[in-house]
Amino acid sequence: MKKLVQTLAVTALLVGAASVAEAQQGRPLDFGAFQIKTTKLADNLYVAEAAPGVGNVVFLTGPDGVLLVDSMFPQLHDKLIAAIRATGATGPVRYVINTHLHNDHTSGNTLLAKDGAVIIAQDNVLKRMMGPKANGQGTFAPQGDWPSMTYSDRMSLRFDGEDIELIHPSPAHTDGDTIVWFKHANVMQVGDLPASLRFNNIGVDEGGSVDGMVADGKLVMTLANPQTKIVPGHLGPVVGFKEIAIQDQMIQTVRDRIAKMIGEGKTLQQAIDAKPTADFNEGRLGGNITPERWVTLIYTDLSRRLGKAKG
Amino acid sequence: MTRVKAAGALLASVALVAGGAIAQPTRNPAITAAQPVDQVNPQPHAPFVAVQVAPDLWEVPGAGSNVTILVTDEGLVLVDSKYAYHYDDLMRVIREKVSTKPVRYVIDTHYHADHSGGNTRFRPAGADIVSSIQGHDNIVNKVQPGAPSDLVPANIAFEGQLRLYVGGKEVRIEHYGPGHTGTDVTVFFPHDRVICVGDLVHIGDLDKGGQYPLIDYNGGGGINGWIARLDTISAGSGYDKVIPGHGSIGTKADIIAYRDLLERLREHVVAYLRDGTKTEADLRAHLVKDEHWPDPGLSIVRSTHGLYEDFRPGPKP
Repeated sequence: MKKLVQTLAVTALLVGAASVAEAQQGRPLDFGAFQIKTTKLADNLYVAEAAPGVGNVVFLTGPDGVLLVDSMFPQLHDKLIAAIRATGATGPVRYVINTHLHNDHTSGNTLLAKDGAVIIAQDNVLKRMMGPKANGQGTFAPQGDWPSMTYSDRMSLRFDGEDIELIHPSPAHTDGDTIVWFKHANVMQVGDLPASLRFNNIGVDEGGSVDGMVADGKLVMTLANPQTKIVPGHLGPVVGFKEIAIQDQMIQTVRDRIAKMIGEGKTLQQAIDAKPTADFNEGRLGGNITPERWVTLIYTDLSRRLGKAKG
Repeated sequence: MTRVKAAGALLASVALVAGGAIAQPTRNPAITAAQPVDQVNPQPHAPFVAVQVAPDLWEVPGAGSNVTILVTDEGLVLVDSKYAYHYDDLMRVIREKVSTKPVRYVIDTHYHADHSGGNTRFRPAGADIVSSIQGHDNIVNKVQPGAPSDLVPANIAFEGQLRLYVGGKEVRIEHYGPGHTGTDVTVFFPHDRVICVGDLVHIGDLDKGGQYPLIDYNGGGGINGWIARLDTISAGSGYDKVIPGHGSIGTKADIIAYRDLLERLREHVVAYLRDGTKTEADLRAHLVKDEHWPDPGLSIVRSTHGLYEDFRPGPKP
């Protein structure tokens, strides 16, 4: 069973999610080897990073209990809870906010909900989690991971003396993305919107789009300010406008190159062979999202949108 | 009920035939229910009773506001909470008649303290308080005159829709633009086919002041948005029972009747102001004379200025 879960997790990673530098295609993630590193962002606000690159969980502590942004994998649950307790935090995990539906951000939900946490996400996260899996067998996500509170447009939470704003941007990484802004601490967890330097997944089958990614990178820079500590879903764990701008520009450039090739009637293979990311490859961790995979995602998305699919 | 529906139908037909501006139903100008009540100091009230609406749904009507209670295995969801000083009596009847489960959520249909006053007790007791963002802001900014100064705002606020899934049951909360206030939400229980509409609709208390609509312009309300919203709600088909903020449980026909009451009022005001010679004071006197609004009364005090600004001819600031 455990093996099956891990295989499922990896499958989901491959089609859906993370930039796990160490994970090789087809090889189960070695959860036992992952360490959780905690960085303090403000008085009662931290980011737990499952290194390397597995994912970042921001957590808020205080008299009302604990609030998490994203929930990692169930295999990392005990380590995550231990990292939270190591800060001196007491009280139950009351809320978990999912930045989007991919299972490297949500498959820890079940265990946290079992202990009483309310799982919060945008409406489309639940709609897609309840929907069928691509292979038609069962639901996209197990029922235990489903959110128990969903919002449509905007939401705010008052918790542990912090004002937490949930903003649903236009579809980007998926159509159920949430930006979580801790207003007093001036910390913004942006999930898998453009932030850290990597070839991050674009959920082209979950309502995401490359143009949405570029637009929402810009949106983050209008919502936040240059002092805002921006926490991406992976790597970082803290970045700023500089990284977002670089990443946004890279996505825009590669997007334009691929759009041009689609316009010229080039096939997907021709687009991959043209290596449109070559001048950006250095220093970018892609994990399972190799440059080829990334080009494929953008080509797929643009072909559908431009209605000029070739090959 | 029958009488109320008949009154609604009468209003509708009057509006249809006469453009709503001529014939007026006679009302009792001595009615005082539209006057402010003390929102801070406990007032005597008839003992609360719990009325079963569906196997898992109850209502505690009476003083303050109607309170609706959903029972689930994971706890209770309340819609509105009366005044803070009703808390002990409200909880007693819930514990005795409804359930001993913890109160998980309290939803404010809008920010007025007769509906949200209990927040002050329920929040420290561990419940999450849910409202629209503007409802939260209106409480923080103390928009309502005479409301308790320690009124606790929601800790969970939203724009658009919010859905709760508690003990396997869905609760769908929807916020609207201007209406009775700018903060009104409806709370829909799809499995029970019941919708709570707060003060967007009065049912069965039209002879106790409910026929004088309070359009809380200062709190973001507006008659145009209110009528449009009732059109939207009455176009829905997922509910059989309608629970208002005050008065008795009704049906879609009551939503339509109240919508028509507002429409007739709007047409009356539009017709009265049309020639551009009337002042706000004229409108106020006219509402007293022709609509029989008590003066002073909550409706006339809160609504007149906004109605005048909405419908007077000429440029708006």
